[in-house]
This record gives sequence, structure tokens and C-alpha cells, in this order.
Amino acid sequence: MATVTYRQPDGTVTVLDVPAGSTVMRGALTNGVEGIEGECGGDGICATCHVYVDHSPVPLPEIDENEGELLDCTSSPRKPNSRLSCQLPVTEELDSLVVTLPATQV
Amino acid sequence: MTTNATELPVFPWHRGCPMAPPDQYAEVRESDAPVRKVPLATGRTAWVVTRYDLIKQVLADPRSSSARAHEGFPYYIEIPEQFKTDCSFIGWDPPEHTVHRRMAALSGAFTKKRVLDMRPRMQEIVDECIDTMLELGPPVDLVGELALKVPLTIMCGILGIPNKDQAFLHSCTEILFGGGSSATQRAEAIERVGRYLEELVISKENDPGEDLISRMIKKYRDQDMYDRREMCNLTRLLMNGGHETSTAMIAIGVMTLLEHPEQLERLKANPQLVPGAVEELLRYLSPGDLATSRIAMEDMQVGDVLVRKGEGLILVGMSANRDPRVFEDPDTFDLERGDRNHLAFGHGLHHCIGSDIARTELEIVMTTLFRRIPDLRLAKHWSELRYKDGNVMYGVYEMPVTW
Repeated sequence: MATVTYRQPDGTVTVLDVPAGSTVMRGALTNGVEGIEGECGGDGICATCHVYVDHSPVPLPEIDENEGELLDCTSSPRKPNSRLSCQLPVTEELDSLVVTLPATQV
Repeated sequence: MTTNATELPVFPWHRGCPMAPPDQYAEVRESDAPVRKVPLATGRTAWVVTRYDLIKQVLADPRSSSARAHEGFPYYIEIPEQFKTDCSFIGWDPPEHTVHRRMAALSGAFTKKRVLDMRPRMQEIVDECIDTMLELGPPVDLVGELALKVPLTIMCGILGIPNKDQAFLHSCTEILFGGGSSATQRAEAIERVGRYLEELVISKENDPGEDLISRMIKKYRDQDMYDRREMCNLTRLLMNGGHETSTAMIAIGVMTLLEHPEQLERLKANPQLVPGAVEELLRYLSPGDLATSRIAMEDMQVGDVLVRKGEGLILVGMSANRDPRVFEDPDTFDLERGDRNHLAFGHGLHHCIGSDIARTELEIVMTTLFRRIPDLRLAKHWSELRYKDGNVMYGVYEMPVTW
């Protein structure tokens, strides 16, 4: 279990305990956090689960070629801390991760 | 209400109006047994799932498999063996599915960025088709001159298929997915396409161009994974997926807008409404409605029903898209609904790889057609037209229009 904080663009904050083995995307979708679409269900195809990572207690997995190309065409602008949340597996070490959701996903 | 399968006609059920689902969808969905075991036209039985939440749940569940080669897969029409064995990643599960789908996705045609780059060429193709319509003068068959030509030209351009071969390929696709053809005819069509694609793929192996097939061959070879037969199958999948559905959406989408003249006037006055209108058309018409079937690899609970390992599931997307639990007043067409949560492209890891291409095609067609031919109207009432009904893809054969 890891505590993940989801910040909306308007400042609203949702703090969730997400089980290890899930993903940052799935944590949001299963708990009704607005702002993540996840159209393809987490296969790294649609780029509708874009987040900005504000704080991570440990280094995150590298951005691979697929994620890189998808991040180049997200609906809200790509920033240095942009990630697709389906590509961020939740582990115990990820406790206290903070992400901000973009204004738009599609 | 009971779950007795004999109460319902054999599946697939048929649309009365091309813009409305079969009556049985709402009947089953709103009953106390929205997951229902029904007899299929092939003599098998399968569970038909009708509610939005349950369909989405099954599509996201790794226990529900897309393995078309599985003996229990719920085919509702007789299909040739090749359809099961040579289907490429649409009929596979992870990890094979994921590896091969990514190879296609990364070969450069499907992501939002690549589609954006293709947009000017897509606009040219749409304009050329409308030029021809105007030259021919009314009445014109909108299917032949626009709804089919636009996606087919775009897809052939992406794949690197010469324009001269389009008519041949389309005639085969129509036999395969159009409904009304026999299993023998479908097998012959598959064989003809197979021979063509093999020659095409060999020519790309020897003389690569700037097209998707050439790029995919290179990518597979670089990773020492190249297999010619699989490349032919993948090409066929992209070819088939890339035009028949879009053709239906363009034709019946235009029909739907013409049947809602007040909304069409608003759309013409404000083209910014087009992207939202496209989403509503996708929800409302769902032409790939019958394309999502699965097989349970383990026992799984779906609503009140325990689906046993080896049983088939047919997930009727158009029923989900008309589910009043999700869409208010679902049978009303409202181009300003502003909801793209529909399942017209499926959901989960088999979500349509070409969805951005399809959306862009539809946006360009709807914007350009009604700008250039503002007085467009149907030359025949929709009830006089002939439809592709009860096969994998819904559609219309011909749709004469005038202005």
C-alpha cells in the first residue's frame, strides 16, 4: 500500500491508499478521481492518463520509446515531469507520491 | 422475467432502423437478467452482456480472453478457419498481443501526433472526393463516392497500397464483413486477399518505401522477429479495421444529421461543435457493435451471473451506449451532449488502435461536406435503402444523395 496524492488543476486534493501492484492510473479510476480518462485501460496506447509528477520518494521507471511518443502528443502540454500514469506501477516505496492532473486529457 | 433462452430470437439480433439498436437490447438490458444466455445462429450458445458497467468490466478483466482460435469462442456466424488462426493481435491476449500491438503503434500512424501530421493530406482526400461528387452532379451515391473512398484512400496511403488496387480490396472486404455472403464466399475472398497481400509484403521487403508496412517490416527485422505470414495478417487486420467501420460511420452519420435538421443547422453555423457531434454520432450509431466477443478463461462473476470457464461472452457495445444509467435520455441524438465515454471503440487493451484516425476523418468529412454542399439531402428515404445487418460491422450498401 502507498499513499498517493492527486491534485486537481483547481487545487482540490484527493489522497488515496493505493495497493502495491496497481498503477497510479488504476488507483484514480477505481476511486472515482476525476481528470484521468484511461481510455485504453492502461496499455500505454491512448495518452489519456497524463499526469505531472510533483514529488516522488524514489526514482520512477524510465520513459520508454512508446511513452515518450505518446507524451509528445498529450492534450495538455508536456512538461519535464509529465508521465502516463498507467506506466507508473505502485510499490510500497512509492509512498507519498504526489501528482497533479492536467486541465484536459482529450 | 426468466432467463429462458427460447424467449429470444437467435443472435445476432437486427436493427429495424439503422439509427436505432435492435429492440432486444433494451428488453434484455432493462430486465432483471441483463446478462443472458442466448442461442446463436451458429447453433452455439453464449452470454450476451447488455449493461454499460458490466461490458466495461468484462473488457477490462484479464480473465476474459480474445483468443479467436479457442474452440469455445462465441462465433455467431460461420467463419472460415483462417479468420481464427490468421487474425493477428485482435485475436490474441497479452503478452503476445501487447508486443505486436506496440510494434504497429510505434511504426508511426496511430498516435495523436502522427494523425495530426496526416491531417492536411486527409483534408485533401476529402476535398477531392467532394470535387468528384460536384462534377458528377446529383444524385450521387454517397457511400461509393465519399464514405468508402475517404477511409480506403487514407488507409491505403498509410499502408502503401497502390490506389489502383483499392476497388479489388474493397470488394473482398465487403464479402467478408458485409453480411449476406456465404462461408464459401468468405473463404474465397480471404484467399484472394491473402495472395494479394503476400505479393505486396514481398515487394515491400525487397523495395521498402515510406509506408507503414515497410516501417513495420524494418522494426520486426531489427528485433529479429520478422515473419512474413504474420506481416500479411497484420496488414489485413489494419486494412479491414481501417475502412469498413469508418465507411459506415460517415454514411449513417450523414444520414443521422440529415434526419435532425435543426441540429444540423446549428452545426453548420458553428463548426466548433463538430468534434462533440462526432462523439455523439459514435455513441448513437456504434457500427462495430458486434465486434467485441470474449471467452472466459476462468469462472468469472458478471453481474448476477457466474460465467463458467470456456463460455463465450458477446458484449453489445450499442446497448452500453444506450444505457440510461450512464447516458441521460440515451435514445435522443444530441450533438451537444459532450460525453465521449461511449464504447464505440471498445475499451481496455483492444481499444481501437485507429480511433484517432477515425475521429479525424469524421471531423473533416462532417465539416467539409456540409460547408461545400449545404443543401445536401437524401435522395431516398432511409427505409428504402439496403443495410449490412447482422454481421461484424453494420453499414449501408448505397445511399443516394442530392442537393
